[in-house]
Amino acid sequence: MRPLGAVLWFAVIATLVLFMLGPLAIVVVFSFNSGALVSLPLTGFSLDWYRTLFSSAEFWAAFQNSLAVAVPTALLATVTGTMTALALTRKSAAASVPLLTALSVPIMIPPLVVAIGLVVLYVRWLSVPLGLGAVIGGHLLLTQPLVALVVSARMASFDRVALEAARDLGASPWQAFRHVTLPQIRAALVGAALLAFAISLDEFIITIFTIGSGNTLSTFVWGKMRTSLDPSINAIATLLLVITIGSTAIALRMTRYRG
Amino acid sequence: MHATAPQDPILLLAGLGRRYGQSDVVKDIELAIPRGSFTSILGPSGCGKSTLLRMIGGLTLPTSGRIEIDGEDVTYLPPQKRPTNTVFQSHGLFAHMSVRENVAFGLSLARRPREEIAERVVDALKLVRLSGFEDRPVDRLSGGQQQRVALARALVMRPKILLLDEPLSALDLKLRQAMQEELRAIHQDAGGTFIFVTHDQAEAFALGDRLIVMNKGRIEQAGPPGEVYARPRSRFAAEFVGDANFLAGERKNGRVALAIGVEFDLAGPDGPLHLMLRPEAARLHTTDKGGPEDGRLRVAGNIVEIVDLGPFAQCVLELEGGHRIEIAGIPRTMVDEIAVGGRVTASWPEAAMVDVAP
Repeated sequence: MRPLGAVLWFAVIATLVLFMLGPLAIVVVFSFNSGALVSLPLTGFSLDWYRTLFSSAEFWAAFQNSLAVAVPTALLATVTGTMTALALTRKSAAASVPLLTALSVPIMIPPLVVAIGLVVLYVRWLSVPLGLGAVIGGHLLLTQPLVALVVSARMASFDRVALEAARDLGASPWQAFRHVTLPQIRAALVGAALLAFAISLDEFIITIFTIGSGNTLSTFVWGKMRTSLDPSINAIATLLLVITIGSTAIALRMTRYRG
Repeated sequence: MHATAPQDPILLLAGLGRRYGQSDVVKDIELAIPRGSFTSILGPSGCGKSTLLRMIGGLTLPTSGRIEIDGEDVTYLPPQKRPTNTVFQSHGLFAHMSVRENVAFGLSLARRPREEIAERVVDALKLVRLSGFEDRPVDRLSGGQQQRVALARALVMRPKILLLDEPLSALDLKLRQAMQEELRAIHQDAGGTFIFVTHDQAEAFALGDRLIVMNKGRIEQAGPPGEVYARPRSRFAAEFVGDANFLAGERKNGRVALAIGVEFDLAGPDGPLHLMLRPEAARLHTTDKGGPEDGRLRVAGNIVEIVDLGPFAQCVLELEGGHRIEIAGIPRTMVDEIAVGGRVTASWPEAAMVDVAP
């Protein structure tokens, strides 16, 4: 019984892993394949698709837009998310847990709903023009709660008496933050910023609803897919994969955030 | 006896109170602390002693009253502007810094010259006997060492008043006693005024030259420890600083009749009263051949319980009418002569009994 069970179990897991990782592997493999069709057999190793990509002005415009959104998003989300977390740690658990949950609502409801809501808010109520600024606003909704969660988790094990000791030894509230709090949560902040960066970089739904005109990498890929199944898409996907996995991996290492 | 104001108080508290919502955590504190004294504040948990200390240090703001340090009103000054430093119960060391950086923290913020900081850090670490630990990370130290770093970190600032908030309660007994001795020595060497908060009466007596007993946010009694022990003003103070017998009685025309069946003269108003008797103030006699000594009360009873502590024993005596009293400090020589069920006499000086509020 047991060997059969174990074999079945292994088969199920293997199928699942293949199903989930297969497409990723195919994308990466075909980005280095010389043929113009995404079909077997492979025709030979080539960097042509990357060359095509890097010589495309559209790609660079989208890449620049992506950075122009992801970098400010990461910085702003880190500042506001950290401020949120620090404010919440001064409150009792009874007050801070519901507040943190309320702040996390945007990452729990479908992005489509957030996106539609944002467009209505921007256009109808705030008269904010759609564009990169609007995208950053939308991405802040998603990333700020995440930063707040990561920093809150770090602050839970932070020795608040040390903060009082700093004040007692002559530190102003700002000096206490700079010399005592910040050095101890710095790794968590960098990690949270990288997570926010990775999320913003490949976010699609809010981006396409609020960007107006122009592209980020994710909308650029989507646009290309509607016209042609050009293997240079695989090259972009591989690049995105490397950047997001890389920054997320660094982030997880730095925050020791598991969950 | 009301605590008379010392000639030159370093700390004056007037009508000091702290209210959270509807409850007064600290209420109407009137206190003057003499310069250079070592004061212990003793009370059960939740009596407001830590809140009182935090108000002196500026970590909690009072809701009423005034705090004066060395003649200066500091009531609403933030902690960084007060001439006080605190040693916390859970030390609050800066985990990302070395021992040296921890101790130098306050002086660096005050922008003292580099050489002065180095010198004072060395001196402070010598004072707490941690010389040679300068470059250790603080999380590699034992609990006692960490608490000594916290002490050095506060002492190096040369505060006018050093506030100690149960700094030893997380340590084990042996270490605690060693640290108590060190604290006394440091107070003598470094000088300054120390205020030490604790819920441990043995610690309060071991450390302070002045004792303040707190209960329910108020000062129950303040004075030299010996005086508070011998002449408590309330039943709470009597019980909190040691073991006590309480004898109920009635006074009429200056003569007191106790419920345990003895009478004696004690001036005062007519009415019911409660007298406190320390268990070690009474003596036990196996043979009642002593005549009626002047100023001593004598009662006979049966021993119902003996606790042999080694050098001394204590026992519970049941008197006429079922009243029980505890007697402590029975000498070794006598322990072998008494037994549970035996009939003995106890005697104590009339003056050993203290009138306490019920």
